[in-house]
Amino acid sequence: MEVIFLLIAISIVAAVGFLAAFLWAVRSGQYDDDQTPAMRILFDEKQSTETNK
Amino acid sequence: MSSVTKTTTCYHCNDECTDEIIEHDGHDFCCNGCSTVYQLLQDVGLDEAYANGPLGIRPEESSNTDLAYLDNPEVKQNLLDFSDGKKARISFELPAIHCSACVYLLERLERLNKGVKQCEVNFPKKRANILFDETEITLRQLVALLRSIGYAPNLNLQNTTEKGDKPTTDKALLYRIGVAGFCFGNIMLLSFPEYLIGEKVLEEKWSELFNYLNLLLALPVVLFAGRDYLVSAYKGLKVRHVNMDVPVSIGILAIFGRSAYDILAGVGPGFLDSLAGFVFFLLIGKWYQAKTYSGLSFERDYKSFFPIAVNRIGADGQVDAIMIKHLLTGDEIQIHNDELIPCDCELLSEKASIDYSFVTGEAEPSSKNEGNRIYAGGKNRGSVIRLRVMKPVSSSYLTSLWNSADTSKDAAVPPLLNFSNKIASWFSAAVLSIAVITAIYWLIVDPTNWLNTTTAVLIIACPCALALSIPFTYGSMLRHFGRHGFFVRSVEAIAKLGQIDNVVFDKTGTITIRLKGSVLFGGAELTVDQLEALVNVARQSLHPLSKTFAAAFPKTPQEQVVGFTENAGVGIYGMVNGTLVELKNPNNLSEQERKQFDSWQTDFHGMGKTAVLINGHLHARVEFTTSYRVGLHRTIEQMKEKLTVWLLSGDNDTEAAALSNDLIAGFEKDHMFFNMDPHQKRQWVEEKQSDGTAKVLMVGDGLNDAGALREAHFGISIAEDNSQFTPASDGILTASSFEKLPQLIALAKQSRSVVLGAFALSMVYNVIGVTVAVQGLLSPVMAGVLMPLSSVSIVLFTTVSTAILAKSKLQ
Repeated sequence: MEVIFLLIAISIVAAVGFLAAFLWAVRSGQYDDDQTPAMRILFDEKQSTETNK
Repeated sequence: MSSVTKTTTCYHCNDECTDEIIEHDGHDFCCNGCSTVYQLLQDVGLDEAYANGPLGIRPEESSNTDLAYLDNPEVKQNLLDFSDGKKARISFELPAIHCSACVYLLERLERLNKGVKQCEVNFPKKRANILFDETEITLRQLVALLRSIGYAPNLNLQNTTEKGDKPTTDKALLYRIGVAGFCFGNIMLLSFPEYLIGEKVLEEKWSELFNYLNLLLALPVVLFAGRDYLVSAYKGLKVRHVNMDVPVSIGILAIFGRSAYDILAGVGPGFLDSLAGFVFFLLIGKWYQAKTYSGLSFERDYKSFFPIAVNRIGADGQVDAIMIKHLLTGDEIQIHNDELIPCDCELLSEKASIDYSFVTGEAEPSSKNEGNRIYAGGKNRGSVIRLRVMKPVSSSYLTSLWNSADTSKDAAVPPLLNFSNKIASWFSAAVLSIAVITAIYWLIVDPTNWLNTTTAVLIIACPCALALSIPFTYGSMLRHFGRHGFFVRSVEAIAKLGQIDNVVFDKTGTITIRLKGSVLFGGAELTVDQLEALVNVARQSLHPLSKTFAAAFPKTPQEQVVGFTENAGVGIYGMVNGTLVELKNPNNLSEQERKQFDSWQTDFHGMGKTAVLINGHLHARVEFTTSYRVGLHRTIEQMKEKLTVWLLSGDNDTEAAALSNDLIAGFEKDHMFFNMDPHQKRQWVEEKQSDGTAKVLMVGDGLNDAGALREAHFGISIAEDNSQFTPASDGILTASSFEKLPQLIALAKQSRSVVLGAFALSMVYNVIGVTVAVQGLLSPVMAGVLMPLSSVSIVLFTTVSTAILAKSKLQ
């Protein structure tokens, strides 16, 4: 049962990691504009599609 | 005219090709501008922009001479976010942005000009952040470049006074939600063994460790995530005012205090999972409520209507651009066609035609003579005019109109908060007295149990559901409204809309459509050739009546116009295929001609009477009828069932008969007022509301309604499209949704019933919970189930019932 100490510690550390990731995402402005990046990712660059052929 | 011809739409801007069709590269274009932009994009390999069909942006035809002021160092300094002489950064508002192809094109701006280093578009805000090299492209050239591809930046006085854009999403709120969510999840996980009723799954030392961890995790919930509620409640109580945050804070503190005591004394696990969930749901509600339409501005004032600079004529006759805030009384300025007059002036040119439609609501431009006073806000129609400044911008007529409305509206508590505050004080009083009675009862019956039961009452009677009903009801109503073209400033504003009982309409631009009307003829018949010649001449002019005339015959083929001349206030003429045609203001006819002109009465008393002269001889009479919005009479009829409907127009009363006709508008005769200037409109609304019984909804569109819009309990401005200028108001209604206005008002009224329903539902939970709590039977498990259940069911109830209401009314 002593292993539960370790498990709790790991789970809290993991959760803190996710919290930190979220806070960082907010701070770096990723929630400022939630529409444009969704459009941007779908643009095909003509040059790159030609070289892929 | 027959309209059986097949319509061709432009490959670039998607407009109907009305004049001539230009074929280029196998596609049809409506004008040279569109085909040029197409070619430009082809040349640099940006034709992907057409992947999903036409771009839908019509490039502006402009000589760009009006951009000279952008070379002025002071203007530049005011507009640029950053500049080191080489690299410069600027943020433009580009109202034309409307689809993903716009983003594609603008973010590849550097391919059109090497001077542009980077361009990043924010689609919802319709803004572009551009990094450019000042040594390769000047600010003026950059603006000209954007214009040439159809994205004219919105440059106005407001840009220079407030720079950059405020963050629309409240980052602090997101942090709080993140922290509360983190703690909520972990506390639930660690509390899980406690949920397994009756079984002792954990040894004593484990549950103790878990409890202490929970307590540790609850600290940031109270001190960081829930801080705003405690602070707001404290501030409210300090001024002896019970707001909604008071019962919320009582709940937070009671749960935390009791749980901390239980854990530290080793009595039990406490109710910390309920606490974290409670704060988390509250913050979600706050976030849901904070939805804003970042692409729209509800706060625009005269500054966003005014240009940044004007052309001043110096003592030596030299023309230079000067920022309008530096204009002094006595300065001479030059105003081109279609430019705005920024301050009260005296006319130095012989004649001028000034379009005041935006300021006063008059549909026809008024003609002015040398020495006449011209008020700020008018637009010059016709050739260049010279003016002498009589008052600086800050004290002009228009600015004073704005400021008088500004100060008259005091900062009263929004009625919605008033309503919820009333409930809050009533609720707090009820909960506290039940707690006191419980304490007294148990002190008599079983003194060991009194603290337990009293805190249990405070915990379970938490107003979570109560505090969630308003944000979720009005927040989802806000979204439904937005989907139907009605954008409301905030959730408080919807509650205000639900209270109105009088509706006031403006005429020009509100119930009529600008530049759209039919043409009536009197006098001699016109041949097809003559009519086509007239239309071609009218196309050359920017005068609103000429534009209306030309727009009425869109299929007319293009002809060469020779010697086109426009005399402000007199008329226009030009030669087409050897025929001299003229459109003339009847006031400039000779006495004999005038008599003949007056004898040609048309059945309908239209506006904008104009004489048609062919080869110098009076030939016919033209009148224009206003085009009313689709379904106007139905809209008014529906409103009249429950509300009192009025019309305040800045125009004259020529249309009174039509407006009172049930089949056109159906305004009651004594409910229409004409020739109202902007101040009178505002005063009318003020007087109507002064006795406190009437709550007025003002529906307007232009600056002339600005005062009334602000004065009214709720102001709606009508916009043909989202990028159009709208004066400050509580809501913006897209013109195509005009017919839905009665339903929208009804929905706002019904939202209140939804809130009351949600209150009733949360009362049911509270009654059950309190009944258990006063008997001293509340267990942590029960609180842990009951509290999230009530929150979730309130959220579901409010969002589902508003969705059903909105669907039944608006479809």
